[in-house]
Amino acid sequence: MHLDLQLITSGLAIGSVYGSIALGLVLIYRSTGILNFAQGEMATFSTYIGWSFVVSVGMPYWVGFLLAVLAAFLLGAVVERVAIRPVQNQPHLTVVIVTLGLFLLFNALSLKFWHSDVRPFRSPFPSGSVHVLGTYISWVSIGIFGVSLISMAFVGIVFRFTKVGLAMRAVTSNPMASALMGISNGRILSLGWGLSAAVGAIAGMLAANRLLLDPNMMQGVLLYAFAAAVIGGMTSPVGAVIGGLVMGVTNALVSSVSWIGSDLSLAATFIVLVLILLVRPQGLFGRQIEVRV
Amino acid sequence: MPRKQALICLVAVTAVALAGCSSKKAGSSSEDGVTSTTIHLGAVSPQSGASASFGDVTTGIKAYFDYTNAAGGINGRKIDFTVLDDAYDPSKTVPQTEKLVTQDKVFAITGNVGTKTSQAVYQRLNTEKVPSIMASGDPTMVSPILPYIFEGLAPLDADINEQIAYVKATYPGKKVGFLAENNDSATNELSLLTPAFGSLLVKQSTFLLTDPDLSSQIVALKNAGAQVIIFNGVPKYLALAVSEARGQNWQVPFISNNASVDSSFLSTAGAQADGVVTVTGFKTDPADPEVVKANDILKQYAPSITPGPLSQEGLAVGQIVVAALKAAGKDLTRSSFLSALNATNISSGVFIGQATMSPTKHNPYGCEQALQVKSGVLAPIGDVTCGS
Amino acid sequence: MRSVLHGHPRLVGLVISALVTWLLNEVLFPTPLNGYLVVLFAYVGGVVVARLSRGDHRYAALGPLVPLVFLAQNSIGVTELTQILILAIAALGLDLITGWTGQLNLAQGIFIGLGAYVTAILASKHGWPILLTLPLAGLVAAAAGLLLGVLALRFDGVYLAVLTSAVALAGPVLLLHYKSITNGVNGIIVNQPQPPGAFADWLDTDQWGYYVTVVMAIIAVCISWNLLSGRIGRALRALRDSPIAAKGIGVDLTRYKVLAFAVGSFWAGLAGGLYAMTIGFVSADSFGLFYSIQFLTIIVVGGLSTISGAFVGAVVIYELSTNVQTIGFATTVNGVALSIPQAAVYAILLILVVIFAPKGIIGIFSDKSDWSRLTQRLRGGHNRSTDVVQAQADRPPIVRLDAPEDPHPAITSY
Repeated sequence: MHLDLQLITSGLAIGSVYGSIALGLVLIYRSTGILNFAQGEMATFSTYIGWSFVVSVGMPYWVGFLLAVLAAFLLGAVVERVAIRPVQNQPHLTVVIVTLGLFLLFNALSLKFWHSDVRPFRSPFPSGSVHVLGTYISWVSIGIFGVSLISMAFVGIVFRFTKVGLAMRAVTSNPMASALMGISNGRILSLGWGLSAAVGAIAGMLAANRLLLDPNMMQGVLLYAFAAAVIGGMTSPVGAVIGGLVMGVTNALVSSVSWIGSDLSLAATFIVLVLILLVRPQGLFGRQIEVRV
Repeated sequence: MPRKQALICLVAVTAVALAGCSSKKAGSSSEDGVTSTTIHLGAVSPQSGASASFGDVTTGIKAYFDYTNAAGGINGRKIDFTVLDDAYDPSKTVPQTEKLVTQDKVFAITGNVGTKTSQAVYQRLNTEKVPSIMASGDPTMVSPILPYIFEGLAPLDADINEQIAYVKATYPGKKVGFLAENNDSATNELSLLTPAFGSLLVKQSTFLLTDPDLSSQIVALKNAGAQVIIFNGVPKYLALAVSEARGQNWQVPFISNNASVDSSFLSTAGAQADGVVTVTGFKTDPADPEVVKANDILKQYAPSITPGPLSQEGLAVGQIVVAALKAAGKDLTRSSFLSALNATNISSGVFIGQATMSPTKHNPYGCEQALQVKSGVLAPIGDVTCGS
Repeated sequence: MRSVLHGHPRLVGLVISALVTWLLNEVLFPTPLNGYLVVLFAYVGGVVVARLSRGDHRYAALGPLVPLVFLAQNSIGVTELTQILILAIAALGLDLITGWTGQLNLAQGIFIGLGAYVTAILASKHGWPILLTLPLAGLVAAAAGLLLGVLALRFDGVYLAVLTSAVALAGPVLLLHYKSITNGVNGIIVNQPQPPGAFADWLDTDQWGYYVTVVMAIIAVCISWNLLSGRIGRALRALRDSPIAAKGIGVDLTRYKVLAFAVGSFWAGLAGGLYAMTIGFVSADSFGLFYSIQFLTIIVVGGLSTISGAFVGAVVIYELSTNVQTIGFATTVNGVALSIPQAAVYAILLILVVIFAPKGIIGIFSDKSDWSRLTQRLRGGHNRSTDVVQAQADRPPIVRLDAPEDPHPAITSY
């Protein structure tokens, strides 16, 4: 293994993208108990909305950005209301299939409205890179990393310190009791999806400059983001971001092992993931739940 | 409950068996697909999924057919072109192609897109005696020559030889790194690069279409001491590779394959695109009258896509098919169509040089040229080379 | 008419949906719609009309089968049916793992790939007769499935989903890497077998492949049937519905979970062998994660834990994913025709089927249908608390993606 500092910084840079998508997954998992396969595609779709505001309509960057985040929030809430709520009480696998359907739907819609061409989307961060300790780190990567930390803090605060976060936990852990306590379960679930879509939109729009915007932009990312969320224990925002960084760095490092190389790095990364889970089946930040007979 | 299930099962099995029986040993006959007013052609290409962009080839073919129909058709007949989706999955390509042949009874297959999907059907199409033009670029489709199988895209090996020639002439003695998508064309390319460069080929690094970025690949190539990078892949990954290398302050020259430098690459890579070299068998100068004509046809008949290398190559396939259908005359049969395809000789189109086919050459192209991005525009460098 | 049918609500449902099918096919959509899509619309329409006329909606689902037999000749080809049956055999295997023992498996596709490679390598590199390679394809996949099954014992819920998706991602990469065995990215071409002497006169290669597949499907159904209707079936049901209680009464959880993986993978391997035989080309990148996920949609759409569900689901998913067509509108915006692309039509139909038939299409035939609860909910009665009570009462914890108990303990770690 070639312990190259450049490899580690590159891994951290892409890992923060995984982490920021994983945050959205954790948000939905914690507030609705669902593994959302459509997370990445919804983020891509929202990114295209932002791209249209900024590039096609010609709005100032931050105005378009905010409008897209708002649109993503509404999109998430509507999706929950229209597609998820009718199957809310079904077995989880059924809900998963609905999210797979949403994955296909948003992918097809992005392809239909914006076609498969790769599109440039400027970043709010300065171009170029900083030269530290012999490695180059782009400002865009630093910006993505910073914003993923801000998103993480935001999600953490929502969960921990707000009434909404408390209500979200109540709704998933005991929907009946929470309804009896006067919490509007439906509104809370919509809110969870809306927030998750907004977090995804932020991640998508910032990462688009680095990943390059096309309808399949998030498909590769989603796989790593799942892994990141799982390593992080599925419910912890901090775990999700750290899980993303672990996946990014692991992938970069294993690809430098000569007998693994880049063509086996995907396989090797996921073998490392399985090994981590074998040692800690509940992830790095999850709690072991015991089931008694 | 078990009894009800048994009943459902029985019904299903009967229905399936019935459906199987009903399809008689039909096959296809040489009169299939031609009426006094129409010629029915078909193709299978990815219209959905991760490789949906390959579908631009059939969109280009369809645009040329629509253009021909609008101009009065072919010897009094109009082309009816059916495109089915296989999502780039061979297990869907076979049934979809069979559907075109046995149920829609198409006259010919014109433009089945993709390498592995074409691999799954080209031999069966030859056995069924359906004239077929594959759009795969895979040289194995047409060597050895099968009487009914033709290739419609520029051959990969011509591309690769042009890349090798350019690197040898421009960067003699420099260490070469090879960066490619992990697919069969990369393996084919490697089998030509290894003897050409020997020990100068210091590193090969591959990526998958699920890789979100190429940072580790670029680091690996840089650490191996590569001084020139030969690239084989789609535009997006070329843009990722270039921006990653430049982001690490590594000004290594890139020599890329055909079709990877398109308008989306030029716009996404921006100023970083300058200096990237590509090889192609097709015209790229937007002011070239043939390119202007092609783009006009695409804009009118395929407004949903941005004209690019894939749709332009599709247009050229359409042009070859229409020329052969015209040459086959009023009494259109599969054998007259085959003879006309074997006598293809078109002097002008979006391709460089001529498009010619013969009973011993089932791929129309062979001329290549190297181009370089200068101030955001592709400009030819060096001469056109034809033949290998 | 009305008097004849009065008191025969089942017949009303059947007749009405058959009529709707015919009407849709002949009058409303004479050309642009595919036969299966017509059947799907007819089913939904038939159910609605049958409900309104107080017919029995469950039997309305049978109605479209009548015109289907006639439509089939024009809309299904032998190669297509073969592929649908192959999907169904593999889905049957997945149902054993996911539906019956509740282990979410996203790697079914790679076991098909494994079987396909066994057949392709033995047949085209070592000259084995293809039919002999089929059982071996199943056994090799079963052995690999056994390994994964043992590994899977350590995981549950999302963690199992990630473990199996890791296998689904890594599998093709490894197959591509070991070029000397698998021929790498170039894949292996398999010569499709000619029908043996006696059959050669009246069957062509594709039809021979079809009948071999039919026989294999029947064998798979029979064995699964025997397995599931006996002692093992009862144990599996107990395990699925209440793992803890089943353990308490002495059902060997470990053994059945691993057994399900092995048998389920055997069917996948067999399906893979048939794939290699009938497609004639095997390449590892055809068996990725999205290929695997297709089998999950098949068993959920068809109906979890039912043998027929695998077959019904295979027909619906295959046809939706390939033969749905772009729905065009007569209006144009800025000169571009407005339309819903086919992949979006597929996605919307998939979501609708799951929403309207959450227990799968087979679930519509089951005695206790979701219809009444669903209509109640759609009518706007959003009484969440009763909904939840109701749901908790009849919700079998088939596959839980969350942790078996409270997934969000009050004190979470940060």
